[in-house]
Amino acid sequence: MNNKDITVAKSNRVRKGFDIFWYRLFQIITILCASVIIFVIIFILIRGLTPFFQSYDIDGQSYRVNLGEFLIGTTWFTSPNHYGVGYIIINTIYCVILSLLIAVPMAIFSSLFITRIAPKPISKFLSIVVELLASIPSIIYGLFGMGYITAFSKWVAELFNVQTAGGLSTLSVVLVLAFMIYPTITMLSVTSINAVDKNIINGSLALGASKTQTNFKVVLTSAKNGIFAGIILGVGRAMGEATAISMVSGNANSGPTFSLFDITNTLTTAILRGFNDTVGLDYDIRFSVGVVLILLIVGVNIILNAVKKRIGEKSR
Amino acid sequence: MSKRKFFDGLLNGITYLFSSLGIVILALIFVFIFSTGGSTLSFDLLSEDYYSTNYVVRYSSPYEGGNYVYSPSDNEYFSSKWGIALEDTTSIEGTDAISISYIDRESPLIDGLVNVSNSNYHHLEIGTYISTLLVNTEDGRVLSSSVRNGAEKMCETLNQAQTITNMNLSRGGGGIKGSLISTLYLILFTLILLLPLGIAAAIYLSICAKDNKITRALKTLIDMSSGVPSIIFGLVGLLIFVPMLNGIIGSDGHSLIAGALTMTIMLLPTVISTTKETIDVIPKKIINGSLALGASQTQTTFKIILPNAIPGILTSTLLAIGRIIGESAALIFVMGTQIQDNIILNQGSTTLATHIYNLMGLENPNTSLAAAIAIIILIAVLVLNILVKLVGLYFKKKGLK
Repeated sequence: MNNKDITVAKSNRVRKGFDIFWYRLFQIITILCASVIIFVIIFILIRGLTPFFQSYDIDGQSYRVNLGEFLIGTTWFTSPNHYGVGYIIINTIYCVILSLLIAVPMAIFSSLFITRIAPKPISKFLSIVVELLASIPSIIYGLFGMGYITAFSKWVAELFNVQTAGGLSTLSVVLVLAFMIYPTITMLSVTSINAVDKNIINGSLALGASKTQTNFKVVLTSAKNGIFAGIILGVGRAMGEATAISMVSGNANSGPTFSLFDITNTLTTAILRGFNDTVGLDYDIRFSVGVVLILLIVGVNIILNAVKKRIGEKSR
Repeated sequence: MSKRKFFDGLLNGITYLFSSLGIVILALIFVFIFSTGGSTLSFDLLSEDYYSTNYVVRYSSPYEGGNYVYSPSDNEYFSSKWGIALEDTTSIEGTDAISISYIDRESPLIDGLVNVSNSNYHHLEIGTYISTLLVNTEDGRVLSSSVRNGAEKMCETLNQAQTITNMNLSRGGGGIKGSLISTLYLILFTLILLLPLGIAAAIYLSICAKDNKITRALKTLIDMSSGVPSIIFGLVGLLIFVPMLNGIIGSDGHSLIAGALTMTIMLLPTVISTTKETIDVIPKKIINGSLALGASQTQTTFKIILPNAIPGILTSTLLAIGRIIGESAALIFVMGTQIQDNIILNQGSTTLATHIYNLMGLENPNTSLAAAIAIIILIAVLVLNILVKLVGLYFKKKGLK
């Protein structure tokens, strides 16, 4: 073996070492990135459950929060240690359902228009509009809500001779949410309608169905899986939305609120309120609301995905 | 047949109606933001502090009066006795104000005013606002004037004055310099942390990892964290990063670094998936060719895969910047809502978005300033969107050649 071979062998070993070093480093980083979600859940869960198991010192006496009372309570806070999020859960679900009633038809019709009806320039323009709406940050929706949407709610309420708290109401929350999830659902629907097999569409047209009949009976049915995926994403976004809603909800202290013109409260606004405290029960209880929010989102996602699977199987 | 036509027409009509609603909403948002904030937006807004500096000054030695010459414009009022011109304006915050628009070089006020609190001479600058004025005349009367009476009255009062007992001055204020710098810092620090982690994970997942159960589990976990609402990340940042940083960098509660860490864990899934998409479409033969020519895996990674992944990295960087500019819920928890003029890394501050949140939470919401900031955010988001499109187009063209 001459000198040159030794050098090559040595450099090969070094290179191999380098390879292994980078491989391990990238592996560790990936594992770290993936474990973020686990840390998130564990930390929130531990802190969120503390108020129910640990006693807090309030004015010389120790208290803990009753879990059952917390989950079905109809008043946010009763001194000294009674908290309730039951009504907030109901408010959240109620607002999300109402906003879906507005956003889903809008999104489905818009996506049909963009993909099948509109001439190319208009369709392109509308796609850009939807993309822009999707990229506007929630704080701007909140600002817009405080400016125009609350004024609109107030105006509608006056038509019905109802008083509102300056327009802060369920209706405002519902409208803001609807406007925010409309682009999400539209974008996914457009993708799924574009993916519909052209042969099915042509078949329907050849059998004598009109263009409109084809659009509504064939295209939408074929694309419904994708549209439903969009709706699931929209629901997730609606339930997790915080700043925009907190600016128009009015932070109701008790409930549930079913009237469109009364102030309301959702899980995220409950977390956002009073973020200035730093210790004590009032601080920790927000993590409990966070736990409820996570569980609600996971639960709704599981239910909706099961429904989606069911629909998908039926259409086959 | 006519019934069918009727229904077709009806459905089409509804489609047109609903589709146009999207355009109406976007138009309304633009109209609202620009009509409310357009007049407040100016270059001064970007370069001024948020908090104004106030001085109380006096001029106590009896002044005979000079004879200064200046030709004032329409809404200016010139005091030939003192050699300064006053002007009715609106402050950056949009309230009525009287500002000093001209000072003669020989004027006694330019360096002759004494600061009441520390007895130092105060150098008067053009652009200073006068809010109240209290003077003594030659015959011993006391006169006063304030912003409410307007510049003309204030100028008359000055002309009759022999000594100035009390004058309230303020400079600057209502600007967003602090929040702008804080946003830029946040973007910088987040990207420094985010990009290496995201790119490394993307390379690992699409090139190095074997296709087994563990890899699939890692992918699922990363996908899952993209569905977590930002407010939850805010809570996590408050639980983990804030106490951790209190110990390490000596912050007291909220800090900008905690904001950067929170944004990093929040944006990781976006960066990983966007980068991974580009790496996945790099032709296998290029990578195999590099390996066959004797390059090591490390060399291939850094010299072949990374350069080819640049479009994805650029896109994810732009997306991340957009998200950072717009994020509010999470940052409220980890960076607080206290507006700062001097940004210190281990203290809380506001970004542009949380600056709006602060303004709208005040007892008298400052909508015009909030809307002016919203215009800046909107423009930034628009530009980023266009850049993402351009990056896509540019690299598509390049790829075709």
